[in-house]
Amino acid sequence: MDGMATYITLLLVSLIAGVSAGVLKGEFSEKSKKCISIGMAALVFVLILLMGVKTGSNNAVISNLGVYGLQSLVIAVAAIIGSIIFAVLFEKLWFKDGVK
Amino acid sequence: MWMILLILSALIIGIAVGLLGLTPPAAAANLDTLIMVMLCLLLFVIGLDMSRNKTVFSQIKRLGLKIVLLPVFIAIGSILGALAASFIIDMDPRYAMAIGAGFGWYSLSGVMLTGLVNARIGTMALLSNVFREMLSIVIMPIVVKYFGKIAAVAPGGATTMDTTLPIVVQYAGSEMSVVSFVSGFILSMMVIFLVPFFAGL
Repeated sequence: MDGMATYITLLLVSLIAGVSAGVLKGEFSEKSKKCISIGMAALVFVLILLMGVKTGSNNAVISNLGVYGLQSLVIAVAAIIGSIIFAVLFEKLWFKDGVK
Repeated sequence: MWMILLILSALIIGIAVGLLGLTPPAAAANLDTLIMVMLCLLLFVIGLDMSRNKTVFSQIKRLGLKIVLLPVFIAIGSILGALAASFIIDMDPRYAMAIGAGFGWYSLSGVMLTGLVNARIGTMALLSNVFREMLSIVIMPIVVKYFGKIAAVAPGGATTMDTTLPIVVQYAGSEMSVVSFVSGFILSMMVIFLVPFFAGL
């Protein structure tokens, strides 16, 4: 659990550092706004690429796809659908006017 | 439109590189560290974006303490979905619910169920939760478009705290970053208790 606490702390520190840097800098020029969105897209690309590499090189995942792939996919899809239905229900219960 | 193409191509190229064993050895040995560095950089940039997003605080204020209930709803929906799936694939409902309670955290749920039940259920938990993480990345634009920003946090489950957080922010905006993190964090904590709970029923 120690590793998990360090991990979460690192993520939170990065986020807070970003917010602080932004607040300190004050107004953003159009150019820096554009830099932020391009930078974010580039980082997302590399992150997803690395996550793909991690999945593709995971032998436990790849070698069992043929045997358990379909059943596992059905559970994943059903869990995703269920979670979306309940998130929508949550919103309907307390935020009838929607979240802007 | 170009964003989803970018994300899909990154995912496909990444999986292909991993499958074909083309990963440079230095990168292969440090994959987790590299992913962690990317996540920290992304959270920094998301923080920058948040600092000029005036809706961040109004969004948190609006949700208030109910923010804690959202992951509970997401958990219930995921587990009921997995229960429904168990009838389709003719599987022991307890184990299907235990797999569904992995909420996308494949490493932990896979290891836990291998130990608690057997290798077959552990492997299915690993695969199913890998699918959940990958699918939530791919379907994010559709979910935001048709079900809204709150629903954007649902498919990723426990992973909206880290790996899918940037995807949520990319489509739902940086005002969803705190909601996404809190929901992913609470769901991660729930994995630790719920997976053994359902496996032991």
